[in-house]
Amino acid sequence: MSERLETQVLIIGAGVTGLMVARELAKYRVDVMVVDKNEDVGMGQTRTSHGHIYGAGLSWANSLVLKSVMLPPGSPIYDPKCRKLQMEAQGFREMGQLFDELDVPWENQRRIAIAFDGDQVKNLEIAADISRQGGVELTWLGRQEILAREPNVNKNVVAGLLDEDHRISFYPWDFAIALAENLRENGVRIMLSSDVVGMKPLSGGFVVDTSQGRIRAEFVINAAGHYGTKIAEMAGVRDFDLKYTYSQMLILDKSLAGLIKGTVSLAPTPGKTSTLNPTLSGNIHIICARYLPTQDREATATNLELTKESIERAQELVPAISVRDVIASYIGIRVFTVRNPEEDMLEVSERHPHFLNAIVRLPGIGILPPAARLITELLGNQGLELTTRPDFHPFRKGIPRVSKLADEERQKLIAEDPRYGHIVCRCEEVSEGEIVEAISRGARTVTGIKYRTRAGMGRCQRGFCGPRVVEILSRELGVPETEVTYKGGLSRILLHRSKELIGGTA
Amino acid sequence: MISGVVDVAVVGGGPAGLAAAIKAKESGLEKVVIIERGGYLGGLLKQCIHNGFGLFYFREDLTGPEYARRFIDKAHDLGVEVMLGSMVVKMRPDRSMVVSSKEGLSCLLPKATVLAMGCRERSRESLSIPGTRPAGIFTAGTAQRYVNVEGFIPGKEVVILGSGDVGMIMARRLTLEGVAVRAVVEVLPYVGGLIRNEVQCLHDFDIPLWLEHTVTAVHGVERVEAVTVARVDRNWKPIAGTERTIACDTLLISAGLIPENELSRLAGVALDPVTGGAEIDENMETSVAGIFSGGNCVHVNDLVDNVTWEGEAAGRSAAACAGGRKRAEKGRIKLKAGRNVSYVVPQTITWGEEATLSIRVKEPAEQVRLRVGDIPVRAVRAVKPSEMIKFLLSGKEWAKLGGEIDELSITCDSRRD
Amino acid sequence: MTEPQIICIGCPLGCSVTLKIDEKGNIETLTGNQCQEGRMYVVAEFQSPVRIFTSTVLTEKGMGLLPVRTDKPIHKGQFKELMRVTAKLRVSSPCEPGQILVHNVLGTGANLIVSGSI
Repeated sequence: MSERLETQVLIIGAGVTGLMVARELAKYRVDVMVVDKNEDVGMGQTRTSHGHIYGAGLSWANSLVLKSVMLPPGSPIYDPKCRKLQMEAQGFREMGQLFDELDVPWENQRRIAIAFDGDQVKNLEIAADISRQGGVELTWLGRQEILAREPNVNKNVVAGLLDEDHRISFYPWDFAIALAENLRENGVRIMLSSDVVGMKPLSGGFVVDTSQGRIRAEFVINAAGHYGTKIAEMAGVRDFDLKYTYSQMLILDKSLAGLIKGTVSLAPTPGKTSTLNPTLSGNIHIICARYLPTQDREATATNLELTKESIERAQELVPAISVRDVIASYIGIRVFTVRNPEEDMLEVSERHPHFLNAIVRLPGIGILPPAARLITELLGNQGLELTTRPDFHPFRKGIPRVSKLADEERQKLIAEDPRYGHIVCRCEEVSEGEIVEAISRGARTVTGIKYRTRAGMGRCQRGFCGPRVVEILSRELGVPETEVTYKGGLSRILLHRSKELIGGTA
Repeated sequence: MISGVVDVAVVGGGPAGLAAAIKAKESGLEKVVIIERGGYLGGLLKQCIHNGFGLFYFREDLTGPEYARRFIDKAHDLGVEVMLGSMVVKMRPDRSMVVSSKEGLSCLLPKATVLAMGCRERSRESLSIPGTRPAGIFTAGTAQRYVNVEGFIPGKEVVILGSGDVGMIMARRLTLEGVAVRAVVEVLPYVGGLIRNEVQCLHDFDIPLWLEHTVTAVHGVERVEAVTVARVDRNWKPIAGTERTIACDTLLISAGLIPENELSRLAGVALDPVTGGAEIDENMETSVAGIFSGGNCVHVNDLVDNVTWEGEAAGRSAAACAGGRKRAEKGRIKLKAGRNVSYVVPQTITWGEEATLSIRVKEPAEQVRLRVGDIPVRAVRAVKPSEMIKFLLSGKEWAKLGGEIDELSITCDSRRD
Repeated sequence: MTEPQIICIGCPLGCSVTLKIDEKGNIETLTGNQCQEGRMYVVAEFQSPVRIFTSTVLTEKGMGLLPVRTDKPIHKGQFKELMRVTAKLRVSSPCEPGQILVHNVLGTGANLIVSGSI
């Protein structure tokens, strides 16, 4: 299969960074294409992002203090005036509206950082000070005040810092999926399972070879996240290195919903971090970030020691948590640029005027609205004609979620399409109608269904809905059940048919 | 579509629910409804194509589908109404419920409800088994559904973690379908299920059984490629240096069942943290008046015959309740699990009333005596956690126990004491 | 003289019973059981280890899998052969539980019957 395709701007990487740049460009009369090696959007760093955006305030100050206590003494920490933080504060102000346009569920989440001893209180004081420098006055809470808001927190807490307004909680894959659906409606081509295998400069632009064909592009945007070095290398413009670290996260059963009402985290402490986040679906998400170094960009293996440590740290904050409540665990790769660990790479490459790097480091998603505009501006500077398109359509409606509909609405939906009345995933109350709709919107795998509908994210982890989802995928895609995959490629779920191994073929 | 007032609503159309509905209808009630979220009645019995069912209830050796058929036919003949593909999505302490199906949402107002949702399996994730996340990991029950109902064989080389009954049954089933079952790995020093299954599933087929071992890692990026297995100490901690890697393309998990009680929780029913199911009394009534429960969602049973009997008791009681009977307020006694007893169901009984008690022991033991309070009720040659013990508390025992009791301890002691 | 061991499945004790078998194949002695029922089981199991065979049979498209069983126990050694036989069967019309699919299958004296509905 070798199609010959042409575009003005080729974005390599369909994570939220690449998709946001595409969205910005789609507002102009520019031909844009996005390619990604994975079988679905957002399957790189996006998928395992924490799902928080914060403006100036506690979370931001906390991460600065964390760096100052966890890095060797004398290491430079963030300058509160640096570009990244300016962009984050700006992006934070825009995110709510953007999420609403894209029908991405989100909510404001308060955060309390709690201290148990004098050293931790001191670090909270530093955080409060940094936050003040950034323009946000945080609220100090005494023990009783903390327990009044979060009654299940460890009673030995001595003090805490509260931030009510500077944190948004959402699901990062919701964002990527919504962006992609809207981009397709706006005429942007997104080619998945398209691994870039070679690149050559040609006539001012590039010829890019992918596993699905050759693409001629005037401009290339490197939004390949932790494969950023590989892409730059192929184009002959690599002048940076990337460092990879990973952190392991746990998801706790929904039966704990209400155990904490907002994010509860440990005050910055050398060697220990712990953040407990209630999620939109009522689970508790534990981040015990240790950011361990790794060379393996594709690492997915979890580690028992990290699981145990995460639970122990979580129990120090909220004693009622138990390892028996864990329903899922996963690791997320994070990227840090070596050139300037504190900044994102949003730049025209010094080695080629039509190659731009858009590699964002954690925390990253909040900066994307201004970052996408910056990349667009840079493209303009490099000669890309930017004429506004009046027919850019910013809105997208998500798949209706029956579990969230009022009875009357739900009844109406079922009357229109009875499949919305047939519940397939019992743990998350997901209907057949939602699954079929997800497939019509691009889901091709069990994982694709999972991220679009939540089917399979519940406590039984596909024990009951698994066979139903495989059957529906097989039916809707017109492929035998033995061809349905978990996450694309060679990840077939069912290897053989009944009797195949004992001489009787079906 | 069924809606409005019904006499008894039974949530779950598996063996417990079928038994409850049958008894409720036999009591003479007009409207008894089973609400089943799957596409057929019988629950897990449909996929249990092996025999061993009904040895006690029917004194016959039946397969799962044969056992289910008897009750499905009876329910049909009695006029029990059935809603298939229907799931209870809302449930309130006043027993009102909203049911979703392709026909729409329907609101039911039962005079009495029986919760018979059965259980789910412990997943790989809930066991925190480290390693990669490839395709090819299934719980044994899900694999059983694929093999016996859907018509697919998950893989060609399988390792099974856990020697519960489902795991051992699948070890045999897969072997017969031409799969190489490389090992059954069990953390305890003895199998988790019935000895009958150890012999007829593992020994009969020379399937390697690795006792006191566990899976410490899964390997393979897109599909399972191998698992690492290590010996464990008495605290189930892997012993460093004992790791062995077994090449395989499939890992089955058979590491325990968990009663499914999301609806019970919504209805405000009190749950027992040890069993994971509702706290019930000798009439199978939960802490919420008019809501009854029986079968595996109350506690994980070992024989479907017992599940049927529990369902029947729940159905009879629900029918009486729908007919106006209220539960006793006086003479309530809390039962406690004493020495070597893991749990006792029911958790509350009424003084003087006949009660069937089901217990499981914590540790295997031989030559034991079971006691209710100080009264010995049964001498048993051998007890194991995997085999439930049932006994009756009747007039004879009450006479010995005397009145004015708030609490009774059930114990399992050596007879030599 | 051979000394096979058989585990009794009569109760949770699971006694491991050792038999002494003479050259003619007769049981000389039997030790390790704790009850008479156990003894009877072990003797029967040694002389004729039989089991009910259960499996599934393929049906024509769209009819699902049909669960089947032998109506009487058969020698456990014949399971593998029986699997190969059932693997080749195809059912093309609806059948009732109890219906005989194969009479006297593999000469065992047992019939292969339908044990569930489709």
